[in-house]
Amino acid sequence: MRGWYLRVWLALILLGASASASAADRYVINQTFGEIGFTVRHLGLFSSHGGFHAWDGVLTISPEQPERSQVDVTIQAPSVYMPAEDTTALLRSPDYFSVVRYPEIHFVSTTIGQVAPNRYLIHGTLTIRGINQPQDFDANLIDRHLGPDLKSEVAEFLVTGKLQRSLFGMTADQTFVSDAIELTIRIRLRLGEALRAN
Amino acid sequence: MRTDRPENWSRAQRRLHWWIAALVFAGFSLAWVMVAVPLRQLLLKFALYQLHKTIGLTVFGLTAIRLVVLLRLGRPGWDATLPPWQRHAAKTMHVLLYGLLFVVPVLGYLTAATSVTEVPTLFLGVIPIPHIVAADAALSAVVTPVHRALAVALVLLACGHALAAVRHHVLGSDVLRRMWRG
Repeated sequence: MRGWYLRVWLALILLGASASASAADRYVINQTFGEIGFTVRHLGLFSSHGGFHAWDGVLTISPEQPERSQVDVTIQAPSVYMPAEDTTALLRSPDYFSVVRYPEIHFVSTTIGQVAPNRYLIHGTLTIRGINQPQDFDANLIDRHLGPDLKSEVAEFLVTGKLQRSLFGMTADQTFVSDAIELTIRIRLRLGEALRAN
Repeated sequence: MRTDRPENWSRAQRRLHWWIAALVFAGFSLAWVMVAVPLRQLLLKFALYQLHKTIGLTVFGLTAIRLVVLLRLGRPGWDATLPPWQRHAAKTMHVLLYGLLFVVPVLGYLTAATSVTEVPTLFLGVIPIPHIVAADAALSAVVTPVHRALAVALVLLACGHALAAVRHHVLGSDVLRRMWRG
């Protein structure tokens, strides 16, 4: 029984998440227990890293049809950051995320498929700067352990994906900033009472 | 190390002197330009920073070579007509200049290494120089202004050194001639 529940859980987790159960099949996820980061290459010589401070979403579990489970995440574009203030300002500018005109980045899954016992492929639609593009993510369960309270169980996920920024109209600085952007999302999901009860 | 004094600066010493002087002023001038270039010109800004770093590393290396050459070949004697206080001042200036020629590039390296932007240091734009100190915002906030202040001090001292040489030249001393022509 415990294994069956875990498979359902894994199939449902996608873009992000600390989670606390608000209902048996619906979980609110946000940045409290997770990070959304990105990596960009420069001239093929080195990389820069950044992320988003504010995002939230809903994970909807469908126990009867796990493949129909869904994740819906919204990122606050102005929360984008890089280590240096001037590069953060550049990312917020019209040449990149254009956060004044497009304050939100959105992802909603269409299907979730299992490709290995602890690995799932998530297909969905990513919206940046008002442009919709199909986007895939690779979700891996990398650890399970008891939480600090020694009662709840925590599942840690690493979700990765790659996108082309030019597909979203971000074409600035092509000579210095790579078109390919790697996304790395870490999620610590607190599993619910139902799982521990089994 | 030789104990007797050569009659003149060797060709190597003279070339090292002028190359280092030229690079210090080039690197110093470049620093103001690279900082002023807007971030929107990412590639240009990156290239200028790498050129500045290359100049700094080169100055460090040439200064080390120059010190080794000085220890092996020695230096010509001081102008006998110099009053003791001027000779003492000149010696002090030389020590300070040598010190700053080492310290300013080292601080520049630390400025690059501790920067949170984590941009690599590429000698000649292609040869990576490892950062042995991790990015550290607090440390960067200390070393960056110190690097800048000591670079200004180095250039001011070098200008004072040059003006003193010109003054002595005008007064008939051969200190400038022997560094220029040997």
